[in-house]
Amino acid sequence: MKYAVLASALLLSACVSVPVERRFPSVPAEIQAPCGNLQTIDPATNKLSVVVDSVVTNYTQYRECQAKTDSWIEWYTKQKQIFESVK
Amino acid sequence: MAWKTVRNIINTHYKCLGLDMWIVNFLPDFIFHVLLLVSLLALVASFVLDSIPFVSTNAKAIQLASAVVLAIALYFEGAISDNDAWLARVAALERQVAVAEAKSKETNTVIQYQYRDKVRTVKETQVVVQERIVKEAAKMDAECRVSPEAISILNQAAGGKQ
Repeated sequence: MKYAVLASALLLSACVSVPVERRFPSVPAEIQAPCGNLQTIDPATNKLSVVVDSVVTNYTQYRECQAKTDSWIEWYTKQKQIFESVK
Repeated sequence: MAWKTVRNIINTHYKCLGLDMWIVNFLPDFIFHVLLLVSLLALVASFVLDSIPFVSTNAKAIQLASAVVLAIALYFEGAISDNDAWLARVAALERQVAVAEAKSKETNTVIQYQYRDKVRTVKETQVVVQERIVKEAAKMDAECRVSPEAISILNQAAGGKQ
């Protein structure tokens, strides 16, 4: 047992910590949030203004999700370039 | 199972060295420089200084010992040089990684600002459009009534259900 401990200590002393460690790049928290569901219209209504308001809200949500997706594409492209610049 | 885990941890975080590299890391470099110099001098002395009684009587033994020590010292000089070259490469790579990490953070900040800017524009547009809806609501509602079927179709499309 004594010799086993001694041998292990000797073997591990010949090991060094790998010096260069690369961390996976972080992503801004805002673009990690999932896109919400589209808004539905109250079936009891027959007003066009309510329908249009709901459509506008959904268009807005689409634009927000579009911005998020564009950000992800840009993030991936730029981070890939940075990652590949290290050789 | 436990041994596998330990081995995985060691393999992931540590690079194990051969005995020669372990010696190079463990002992200071000057020892090998001194060994090289001493063995070289002893080898030369064994050929040149045969007028000295001790050297002349033990010439073969000195030559053999100094040749062995010279070979070992030369080997370790090579190992030190190789080790230094690798350390230089590691240092260069560490610098590159540090620069890349800084660039990566900078890129994230730019992306974050651009995203916030786009979302702000989208929200501002929504406010303007909704103000128009409020203004025009009475006219729209007076001229047009939406059938329940149309609302059902829109809700079906929005819900994404068949």
